[in-house]
Amino acid sequence: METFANLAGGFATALTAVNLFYCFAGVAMGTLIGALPGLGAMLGIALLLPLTMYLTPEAAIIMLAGIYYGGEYGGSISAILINVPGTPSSTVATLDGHAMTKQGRAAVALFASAMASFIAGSVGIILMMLFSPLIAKIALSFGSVEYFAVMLLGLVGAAAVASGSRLNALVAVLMGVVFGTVGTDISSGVQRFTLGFPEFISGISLVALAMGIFGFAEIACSHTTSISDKSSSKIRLRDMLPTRDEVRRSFGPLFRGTALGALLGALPGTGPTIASFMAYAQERRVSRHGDQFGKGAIEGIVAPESANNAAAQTAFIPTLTLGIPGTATMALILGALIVQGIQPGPRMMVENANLFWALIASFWIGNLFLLVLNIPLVGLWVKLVRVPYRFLFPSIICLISVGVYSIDLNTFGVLVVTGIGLIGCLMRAAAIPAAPFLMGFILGPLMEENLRRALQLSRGSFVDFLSSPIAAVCFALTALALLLPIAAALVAMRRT
Amino acid sequence: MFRRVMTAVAVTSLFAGAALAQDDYPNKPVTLVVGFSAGGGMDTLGRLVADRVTKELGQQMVVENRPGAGGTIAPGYVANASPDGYTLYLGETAATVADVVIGEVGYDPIKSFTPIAQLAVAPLALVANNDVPASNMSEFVELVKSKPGEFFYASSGVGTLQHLAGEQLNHDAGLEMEAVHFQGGSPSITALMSGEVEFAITSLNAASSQAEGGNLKVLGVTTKDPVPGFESIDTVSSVVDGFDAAPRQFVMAPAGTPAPVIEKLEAAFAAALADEALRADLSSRGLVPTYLSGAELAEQLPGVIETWSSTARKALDK
Amino acid sequence: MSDRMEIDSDRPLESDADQRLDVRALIAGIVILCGCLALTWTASGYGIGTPRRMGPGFFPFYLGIIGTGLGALMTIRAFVAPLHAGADVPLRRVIFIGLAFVFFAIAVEPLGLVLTIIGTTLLGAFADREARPLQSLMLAVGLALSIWVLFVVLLGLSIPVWPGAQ
Repeated sequence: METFANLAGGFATALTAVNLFYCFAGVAMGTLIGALPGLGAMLGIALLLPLTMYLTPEAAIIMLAGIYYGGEYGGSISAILINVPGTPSSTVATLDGHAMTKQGRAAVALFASAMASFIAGSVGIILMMLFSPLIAKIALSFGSVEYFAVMLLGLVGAAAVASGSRLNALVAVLMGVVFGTVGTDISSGVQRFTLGFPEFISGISLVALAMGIFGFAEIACSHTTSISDKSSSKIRLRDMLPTRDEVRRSFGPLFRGTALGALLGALPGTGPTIASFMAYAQERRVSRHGDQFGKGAIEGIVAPESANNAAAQTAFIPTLTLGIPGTATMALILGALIVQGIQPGPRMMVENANLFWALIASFWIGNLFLLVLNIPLVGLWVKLVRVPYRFLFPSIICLISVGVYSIDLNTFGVLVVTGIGLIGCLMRAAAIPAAPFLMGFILGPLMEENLRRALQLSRGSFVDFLSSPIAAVCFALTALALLLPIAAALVAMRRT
Repeated sequence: MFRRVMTAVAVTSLFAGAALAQDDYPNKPVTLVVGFSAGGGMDTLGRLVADRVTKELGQQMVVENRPGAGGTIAPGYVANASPDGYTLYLGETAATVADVVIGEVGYDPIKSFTPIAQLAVAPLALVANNDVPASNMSEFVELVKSKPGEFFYASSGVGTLQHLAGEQLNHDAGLEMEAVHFQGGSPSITALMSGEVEFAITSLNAASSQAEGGNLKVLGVTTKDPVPGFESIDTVSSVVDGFDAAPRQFVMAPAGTPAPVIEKLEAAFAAALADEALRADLSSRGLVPTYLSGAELAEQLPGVIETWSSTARKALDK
Repeated sequence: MSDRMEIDSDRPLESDADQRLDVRALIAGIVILCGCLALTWTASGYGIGTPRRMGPGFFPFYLGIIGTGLGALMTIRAFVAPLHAGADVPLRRVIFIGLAFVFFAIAVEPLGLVLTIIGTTLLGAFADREARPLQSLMLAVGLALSIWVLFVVLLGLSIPVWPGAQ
């Protein structure tokens, strides 16, 4: 019952005109930026970070979160219509979604995607409501050892499940952690790697780093071939309804996709992208229509779309209750909260209870907004996606520059964006992924801090670390995540 | 001849201009520079006070955030701003000992500024985990003395006033607690409540709200006199003579600002801080409104800085 | 994992991978290797301390050692199992976008917001070969106006708007 009282309080906050506005602004911007290929929720959040400093914490987090889950909806629009995934997590939606578009059934695909997203998102929110207080309660007994262990697992896990080379992902994590060590060491006051710049004493600015890696590098290096001529099909509301058979076939994938997504979203390291890939693969295995996959099977849309949206919601659980983000986007949202003076963690549920429940309430509202934005108004996004990049890119450059400059009225930040952007381009050239880099950057300093404290409190004994069951399990899983791929590679080499 | 006349005219008009500028000060918005990001505690204090001072000055006082380098960018910026009274610095004690903690900073906390007013102090509290067998200052001293080197206390980071106050307590009371550093006050309280550390030094504001919920015990406050509204809590000075370690918040102008301008500003801040509504606003945010005039602050500041700095030098081995 | 391989169409299967030396991965590996050696060296200068009292160099020192190992693995893999996964970086775009940011940083304080935004926009626009001067100029003016409204009028930031304002 307490949950409902809390939720009612949350709705009271979220339904104020100001918060409604920022919720709408967030999901609308998320849909747009998600629908634009090459630009992700990450860039949207980074762009708006400087502005959020002028908002209340509630409005700020409601808007940033809206961009995040709105991006999951938006990403599927371009995936289905023009066969270009707007976000990485909508990559699999291109397979059957675009196949349906080619059959002239784009409207059905969009409808299925939006409905699956909505239902799965709702389930994700309910799970978040039920489990967050529970996990927060457990986490209250977490000490430095447990935090260190969970963070280590999160970072190594993020690398282990990244698409592409695991080694490169590990390198990305490590680079992120190294960049995170720049600045004053909080336990000795020694300035590390500041290269003599006083601006680096407080560390590299998160906003500048995120803008460099997801703004500069993204717009400079993404493949943005002209997409104006690929699709001109009109989407009409009355074409949207799927056949009765398709509705019946959707229940299973919807259920399984949501379950898988909700689980993977809450785990450290895994997020919507992996959830959608795994849901698609799982569905193809269990479905009786497996042979139709890739040719426009509705299951091939419903399963991954429900998985990535359920994951997008449950990803908030570890971020808010433990203060440990599971994905790079969550890491950025965590950073935004810290800038606002709110420390996510087990005590946030108590101290900022209203913020937490207002956020949950805003998820419902935002998902409703998104349903409206994505079903009746889908045509609008289709047009907006066709805005040529030669207009979009200069606008983004200007917004990044002014945004970064506005934080401290110092042009140094803009130069940091440039430097990090160039590094980001080089990383792309070497296939070193950006998302684990950002996670390492944010989690690295926390990890160092907790390791140092854990060792101080255990009076220098590493063995004591294993006396905590939670930590021991995390260390074991970390070792497994590191060793399994090596073992698999050795077996594969033996065979050839 | 002509040239000499012209020079004289130019010089007089310059002086007249300067005098005029002082007479009608302020004739454009005054900037109050804060060393922390928008939305933080110092920023909130700045905005509350600036709103109130705006009414006194008849000119807009705007808050400008220049965060970075542990809050030392802002004072450096103001120290080098033109001393015309249009750029002021909202400072706190930590920035005055930053040269010891951080190293070279672009200002001298005494020589670079002319103090205008002290606004408030933010009392710190010594708190203990519920399981610790001590609930007041004398029991605390007895307990910690009986087991030297056994206890940990949580600070909000190395060189923060929380840390320095802890070290000063160690030194003055002859205790041996070991500092464990956290990133800010909130995580340090979490660790205290989970029993990871026995004691913590944190803001009275955060501590008292947790104490009300029965999550921890407040042993003492670091101000010399009991804090209004919290008279039942011991002061640390009740067991350690003369102990006074409360962070102060104040406003300063760049050194060399003309006296008439300083007077105007002093009057404006004095009037603002006398306003009950503003005082209540500050109290509700855990600050104790403690007005000092520029002259009083100028007199106290060197001693305060010396105390903190010598503690910092000892604590940081510098 | 194998399921994901199949649906990830961008990535060639291991069997038909290009066996030539992966030059980019090689360079990246060497850069990481050398960077981490330098890191280890610098960190040891900060004071490593003991586990009981970790010095400021403790964490970066061990990061450097792990990184050196990873860099070495990358270097070896470039010869043994080349992936050729690196993306092409369009040089023209990187240069123009980089210039746009640097121009903003240099110009905003002396020239003010309006002229700086116009210059930044034009530089950014010419990152794309299809950009046309008139169109870009219109965009630049529009952007300057909307950014002025958003940041200076609405948020009240004290950014200089015209030359000589500071």
